[in-house]
Amino acid sequence: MQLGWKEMWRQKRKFSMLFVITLLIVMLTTLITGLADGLAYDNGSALHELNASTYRLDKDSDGQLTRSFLDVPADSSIATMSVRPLTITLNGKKEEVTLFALPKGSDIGPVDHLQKGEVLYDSSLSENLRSGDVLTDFVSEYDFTIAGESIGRYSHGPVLYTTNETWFDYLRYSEQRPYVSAEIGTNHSASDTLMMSQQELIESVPGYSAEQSTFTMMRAFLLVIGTFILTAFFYLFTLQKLPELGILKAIGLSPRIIGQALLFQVIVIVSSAVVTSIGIMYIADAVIPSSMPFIVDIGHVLRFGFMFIILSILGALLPLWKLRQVDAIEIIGGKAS
Amino acid sequence: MRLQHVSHQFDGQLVLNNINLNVSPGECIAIVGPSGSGKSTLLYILGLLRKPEHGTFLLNERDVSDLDEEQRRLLRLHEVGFVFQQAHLIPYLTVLEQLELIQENRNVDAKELLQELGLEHRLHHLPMTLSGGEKQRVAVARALVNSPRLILADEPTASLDYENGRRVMELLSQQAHRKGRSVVVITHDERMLDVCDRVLRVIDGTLTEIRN
Ligand SMILES: Nc1ncnc2c1ncn2[C@@H]1O[C@H](COP(=O)(O)OP(=O)(O)O)[C@@H](O)[C@H]1O
Ligand SMILES: [Mg+2]
Repeated sequence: MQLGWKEMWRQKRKFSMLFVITLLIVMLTTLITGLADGLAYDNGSALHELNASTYRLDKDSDGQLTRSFLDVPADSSIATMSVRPLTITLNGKKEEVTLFALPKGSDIGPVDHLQKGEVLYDSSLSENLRSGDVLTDFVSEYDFTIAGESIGRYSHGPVLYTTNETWFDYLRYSEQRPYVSAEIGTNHSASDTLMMSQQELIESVPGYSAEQSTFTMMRAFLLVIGTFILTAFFYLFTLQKLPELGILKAIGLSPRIIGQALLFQVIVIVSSAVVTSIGIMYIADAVIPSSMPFIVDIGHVLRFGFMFIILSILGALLPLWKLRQVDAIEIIGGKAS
Repeated sequence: MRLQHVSHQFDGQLVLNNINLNVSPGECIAIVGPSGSGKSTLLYILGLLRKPEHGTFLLNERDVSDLDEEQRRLLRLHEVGFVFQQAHLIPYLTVLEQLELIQENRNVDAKELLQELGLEHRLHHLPMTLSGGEKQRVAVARALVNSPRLILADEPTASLDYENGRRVMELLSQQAHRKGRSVVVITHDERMLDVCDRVLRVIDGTLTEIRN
């Protein structure tokens, strides 16, 4: 440990360069994670906020609530929810929102105290709405009255929460056939329906999986590139040091001491790069305008940092293997005649 | 320390042929011979860096010709001190730390040792600030720090000027004469031979005593 630390301390330039390169790669990874988490939030947070674990959808819906149309169940004890994209007019301007109709008295969502015709809105819809303001559905001219705020984004747009009572009232008003999008928490599996977990539901939001898998691929590449660069550097450092290390091996110093020093350096450099980039992430979160989806999900970031540490330790096996291979005689004999 | 009937070959080429060699405690011997004659090979066998193909090697009356790598490593660390042509010091360790890195017990005061070798004003210097002679003396100190009974040097003066080389040779022979260690030095430099008790020559894989 001491050996590894002394080397870093006395060869600051070499190791700080390596640190900066590692930091840039880790930072890129964490910033992309922040963006991915931000977009994930933007796309499915309304579903995240729901307090239920299983959902039954129309089997032709591809798991998308907005494309699921079920008959209203005869058994009124079955909880249902309905989701529909709407175009509403607000002070003469059209806005795209998604209506989430939820049952009362089930703590699935925040709609318990709403009266018929009332909705809760996500503040991203508009900053200067007040209770009592009216949002009008453009197609049916049904009026929704604002009763408060509640966080929720779906498919990169704001959500309006309302009760099932309002939902059926709205359908009746616009002379549409009554239907629901999903049954909540039921377990009987009829063949014409699709049983989904909350996570599956979120992943089925249009664009969600495509976005996330793009980011996952980018992060995977960055992890591989980072590991590769770190391994290459430590391998080169080791090659440079072979004469001294060969002598130490001849003298009989335990190879473990040198191996430990190398592992210590890898771990110190990668962990400090991870810690620094988490700090930078919090700064970025404060600086980046709120219109840009960016979230610090610390657990998620730490998971990637941890993976990078593990990968770079695996990468360090290459220089360690080289150390084991060193033939002391070859190195000493190379100089003497 | 004793070699009995030791032979060694590389790719069918006999480099050492039935070597017998005795080095007593307190004795300093020099080995000379043309380049490629097998001097280094002999020294590596003595230093437990190479296993002899045939014959036995007795170190302190114990047969060590066939130990495994870990046992040989420990013997090298405790019983053998090496000095090579190049000091090859660790660039990021100070003179004192070079010794502390391999020091196994605190019986020897590393500072005192460095003082004996005229390095007391260099304890906290890094190798790049030392002269060639100083570096080689640090290498000698490193070879002595675990109080080995056997000291082996392969052309330790080849990269030094006469003055500095002479000083290193005298330090090595003193280890035999004052501390009772066995010292074996390979050298090309005829002018250095007088500090040793015996001079042996390797020719065609055999060892002949040329001066007593
Ligand atoms: N690892 C090796 N593999 C093959 N041949 C070797 C090896 N080491 C030394 N030799 C050969 O053994 C002979 C003696 O080498 P060496 O002991 O280094 O001689 P010296 O030190 O007297 O110059 C030389 O011919 C050399 O080429
Ligand atoms: Mg040689």
